[in-house]
Amino acid sequence: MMTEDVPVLPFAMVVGQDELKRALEIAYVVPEVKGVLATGQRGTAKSTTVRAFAKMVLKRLPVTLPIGATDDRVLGGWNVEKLLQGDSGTQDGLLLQAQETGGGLLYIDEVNLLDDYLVNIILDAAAGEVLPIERESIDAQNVRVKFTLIGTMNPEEGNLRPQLLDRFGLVATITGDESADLRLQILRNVLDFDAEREGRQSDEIKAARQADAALSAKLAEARETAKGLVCSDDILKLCAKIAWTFRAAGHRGELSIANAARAVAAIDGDAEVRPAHVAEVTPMALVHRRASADTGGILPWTAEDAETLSTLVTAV
Amino acid sequence: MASAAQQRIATLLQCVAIDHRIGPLLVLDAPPGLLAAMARALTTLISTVNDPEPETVVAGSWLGEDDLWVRLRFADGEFQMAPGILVESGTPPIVLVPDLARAGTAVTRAAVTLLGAEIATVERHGRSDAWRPRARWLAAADRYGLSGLSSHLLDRFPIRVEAAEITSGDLVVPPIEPLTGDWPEVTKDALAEVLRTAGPGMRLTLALARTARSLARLSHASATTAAHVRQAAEVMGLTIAAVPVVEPGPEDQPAEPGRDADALSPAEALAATTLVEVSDPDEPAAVGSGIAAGLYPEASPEALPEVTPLRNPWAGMTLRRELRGAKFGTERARSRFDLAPVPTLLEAAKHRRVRPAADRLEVRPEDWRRYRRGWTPGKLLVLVLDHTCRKGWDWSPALAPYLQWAYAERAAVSVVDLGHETAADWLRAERYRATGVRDPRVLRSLRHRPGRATPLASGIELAAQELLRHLHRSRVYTDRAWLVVVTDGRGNVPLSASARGTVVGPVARQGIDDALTAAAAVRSLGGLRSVVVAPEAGAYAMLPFDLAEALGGVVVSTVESR
Repeated sequence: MMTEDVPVLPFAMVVGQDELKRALEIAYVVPEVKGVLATGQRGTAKSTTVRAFAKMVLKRLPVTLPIGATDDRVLGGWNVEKLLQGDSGTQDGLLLQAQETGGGLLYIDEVNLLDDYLVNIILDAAAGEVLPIERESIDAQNVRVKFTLIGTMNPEEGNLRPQLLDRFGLVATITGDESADLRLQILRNVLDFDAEREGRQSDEIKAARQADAALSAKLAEARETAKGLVCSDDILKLCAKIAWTFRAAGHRGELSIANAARAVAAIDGDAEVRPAHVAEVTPMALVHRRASADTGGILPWTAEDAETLSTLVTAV
Repeated sequence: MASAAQQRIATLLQCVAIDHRIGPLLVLDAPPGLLAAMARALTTLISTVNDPEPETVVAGSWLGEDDLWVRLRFADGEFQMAPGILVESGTPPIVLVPDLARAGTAVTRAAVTLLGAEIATVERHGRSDAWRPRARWLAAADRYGLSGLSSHLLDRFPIRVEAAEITSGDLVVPPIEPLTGDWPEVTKDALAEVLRTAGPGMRLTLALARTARSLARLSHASATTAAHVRQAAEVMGLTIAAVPVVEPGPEDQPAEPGRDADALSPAEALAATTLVEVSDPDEPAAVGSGIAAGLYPEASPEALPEVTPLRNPWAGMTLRRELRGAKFGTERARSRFDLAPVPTLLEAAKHRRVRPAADRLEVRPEDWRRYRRGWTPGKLLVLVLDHTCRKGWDWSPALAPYLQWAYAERAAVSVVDLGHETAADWLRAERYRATGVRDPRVLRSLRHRPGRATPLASGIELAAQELLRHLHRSRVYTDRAWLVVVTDGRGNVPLSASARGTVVGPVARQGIDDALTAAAAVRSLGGLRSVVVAPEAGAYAMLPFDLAEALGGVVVSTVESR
């Protein structure tokens, strides 16, 4: 079946999830942010949000890497159907498919359950943006591959390897602490969506689809705008100072903050990147990069962290 | 006459038949045959609502990822790739999980991936499939095994039915009357009732709402009301029947064409006699009731789930080739031992074109692939607990080293209880097999209160049987076993009395002698270490030593701490 045909709850009807929604928008507008990881307890609609977002901006579901995939489908390999018929032929793997037909998004549901050998493949491909396929008598050197990794995980099933965690530009932490009103809205939206699939039209869903179309157009415009936005030296210094203060491992932290701040400025229609944009994205960009998180565990962003950040930003 | 549990199952099957989105049904402590009867009944129900008859597939513990996602079939003289049993290419199947607590990693990972998902994908061995999962899952599990499972997995099974009271696998499910018109809308009061009843878990909340909606549709109501929600909660075992509810208000019970608004159907009448008593709307009572009734053991503080149970295990170092761990992937093979047929044939197919032309697919040794397998419990702890010797003695410190060893080695654990207050028969020992020392039953055993008789011989005999089964007859190789007997050696029930269930005449020291005889049976078992953990020496101080000698083991005597 074609993933364009799969009905998915409109993005505008996803209740709550503000941090994840914002992170997805940022990673879409500036792909250099390099991916989003949504981590949260069971039943918090992480996958639904990601799929709804992809359907909104790509008009199809994202290329998905299931946890039971084999390496030939990730990297690409022989077309087995043809081989069994005595014929030959190759087919692209999911990494290339994500780039060619998936709008550059590669989605991994339950990413912390992914087998280690697949994680290694993804790390290698993401590190060099080159996919050297040299296996099973297939020789395709220097295949360019560029994709934005979107992952969802339930931390109850264990942590991600720190190396893979570091590949995600932003991390959205989902708590699932919805108020009674939000829970009522979730329930109502899901039942409305059920009813629509049974043939009953709903004004709410129609309005949500229109809102999705408008947001999609706005994000596409922001994507173009962001290409022309650069961070001033002061902003770059602020990013570096924040990363240093929070003892972020490596230099991806400040890069993620700067790129994400550009995206926020573009989405908000600002002509320049301001400290407030930096402040907004810092928790998402640094929560998983702090030195104390080197076991793959993600420490919560505390009130003290927020105060430290506020002090740094207001000093600019 | 059908029991209440059978009626609940029948009603839930009707609901699931008309709406697959309700989710899987998990029956706890089901008698043999019940799950199969449920599948047959569901097949019939689905057929009668004008859908094609579904196929029933069994997601058994023996299945690996290849069986579930991609299969190789031989048809028309050649091998062809075909979807695995969980890939839906036509009519959605009914998926049976005979024992969720013992299901393999492949099955549990599949459940997490498929249940409740809008779309599922498979990418294996050159094959790509995407589909909307609509299969109806029916699973069974032992209540005790459930608490060790991942709560992430169990969250996918919000609807649980207690089936211990059902004695036979028979199930009578009334047919569904022809359904007409649209699905009934869900009223505001019904939504409020759902939220009030279900608590914070969204999957349970949605399951309750969808079940209520199906009940409304089955009863041909024009709207789903709070009464339907209460009925659904009762059917799902979330509420306990209390005082009758007041008559539903006009919004709750909209007038239906050709139907008296005051006349409730039998189903609605049932709903109207139940009520959740919730004093504070922020503290739903339903989940608490469910937990209290044992339906959600994973929510209990005593639940000890395995660490990262849904991750594929590491490939274990195998001491013997007979080890049979769960399959997870393949690797190149140098012999035909444990050959993986599908990957082997696929490997041969890859090279078909470059090899000399042949009429049929030629498989060469360089194509051989074997399964990569996970670890199996190659260790065993058999724990015999004589509760009559306890009498205030805190035996935890003495047992800790053996329990720690069993945990660290992930050993299989068999526990033999004897002489405790709650024993079904004081003259007999009881044995159970736990999945590990984290099993809540083990903790419960350690806390039993002393009873009045000491069927030590019966306990030693059961332990000996268990050891023989593991060390001599099991398919899984056990390279190290510990027999830990906690006793003062003062058995007072002869083996014959245990067998007959009654004591005839004076017993003298027959109970002790029988225990020593039974112990001798394990003395020569290879790979076994035996230890008798005895309380502080008192009268008959030599008895533990006699038993240890018969077992070929040693005595660990402890200073009693009370």
